[in-house]
Amino acid sequence: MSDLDQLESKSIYILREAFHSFEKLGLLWSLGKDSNVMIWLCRKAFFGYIPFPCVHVDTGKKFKEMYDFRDKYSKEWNLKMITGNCPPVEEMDASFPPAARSAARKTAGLKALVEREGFTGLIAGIRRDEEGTRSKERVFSPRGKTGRWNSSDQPPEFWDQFNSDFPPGCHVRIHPLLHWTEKDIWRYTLREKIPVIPLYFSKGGKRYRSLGDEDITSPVKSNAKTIPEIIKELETTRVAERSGRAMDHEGEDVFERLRAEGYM
Amino acid sequence: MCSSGFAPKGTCKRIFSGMREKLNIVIVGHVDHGKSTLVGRLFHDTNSLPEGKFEAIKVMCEKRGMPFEWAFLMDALQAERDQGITIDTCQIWFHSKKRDYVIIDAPGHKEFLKNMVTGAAASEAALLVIDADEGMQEQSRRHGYLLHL
Repeated sequence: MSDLDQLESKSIYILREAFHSFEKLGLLWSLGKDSNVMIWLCRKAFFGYIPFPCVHVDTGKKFKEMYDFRDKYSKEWNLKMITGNCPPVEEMDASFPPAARSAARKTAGLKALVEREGFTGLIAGIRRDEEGTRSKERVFSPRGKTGRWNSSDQPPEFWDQFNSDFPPGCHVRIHPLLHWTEKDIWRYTLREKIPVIPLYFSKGGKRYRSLGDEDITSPVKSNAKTIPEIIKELETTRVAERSGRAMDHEGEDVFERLRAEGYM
Repeated sequence: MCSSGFAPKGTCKRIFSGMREKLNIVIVGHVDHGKSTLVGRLFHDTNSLPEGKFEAIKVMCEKRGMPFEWAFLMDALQAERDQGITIDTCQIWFHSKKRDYVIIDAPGHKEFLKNMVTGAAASEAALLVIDADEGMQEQSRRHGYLLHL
């Protein structure tokens, strides 16, 4: 079994465990490379049809290419789509720096949607190698009534035993890609020929390594125009994946605060 | 398998057949015996830190009025940095010529044993760190015992 097959099989196991454990399940589709892999894995896990809705929390500020991608593939893959809007930035906690305050809209939009739809489980495509607080996440990660992540007191998680018994009123985040790296994602995307948003490929010496809202996401210097070139670049680069995501870099504790309040 | 529009001939072979050995290794041991510090140092000395990370850690330490703290690479939570302890286990990828590693840091405090065991459950090998001056302490033995299970 190749290493990609092992990653795939672990993720499919997690997805099926989640489907078995939670009555109201939703999959957060941010349209980026990771959640596209996640949709792909879900289609494999459930034999072509995803038996729960795909949720796009729309900030209204994504790149045009991302919306085009969503509209095209939600049809082609026969996805049950649920979209939620986000409140204006003025309603967000003013103690956040500008980009983080803007990103907090997504948390607020998500919380409203969780309440509206009554989700008890939400599948999200975060990975441990992206960022420090994500490296401490659990595969099944409970959120309190207010959606808060209590990072100092997480439940234990042993081997493939995922705890899914949580008090009523909370929801659980399920992270089937936690054990993947950025390079794994691209190698798998290449192997499986998963569609890719062209913004990830170099244009005029720059490409996006991570996609978010258009106004708070910037491209990195790169000449990688194909997936193999991206993989080659990742083998040597020392630039962090999320270096172009403004809200990660506005202060030491800002991203953790965002995540504690319910950001992915 | 390699007919993907974006892949020039021959490159796929390298990407898929170049499968490297991977080892998950957990770092355990008593409080303040240097588990997280060891990992921070390992990354720095092998030039594996992402760009700007060293400088960022320096700023964090100056802000707190403390000497440079290697453990801040792994101790990402504010609660951990403010108290100078590791609370939760975390995983970080490391590459050597020979193989890829997932290094799993684990907390040394008795109060966080469930997090230590969570880290240990994800590993295939373990490194038990013991401070040469202090010698074996309560959690060194306890972690050793838990690993044995």
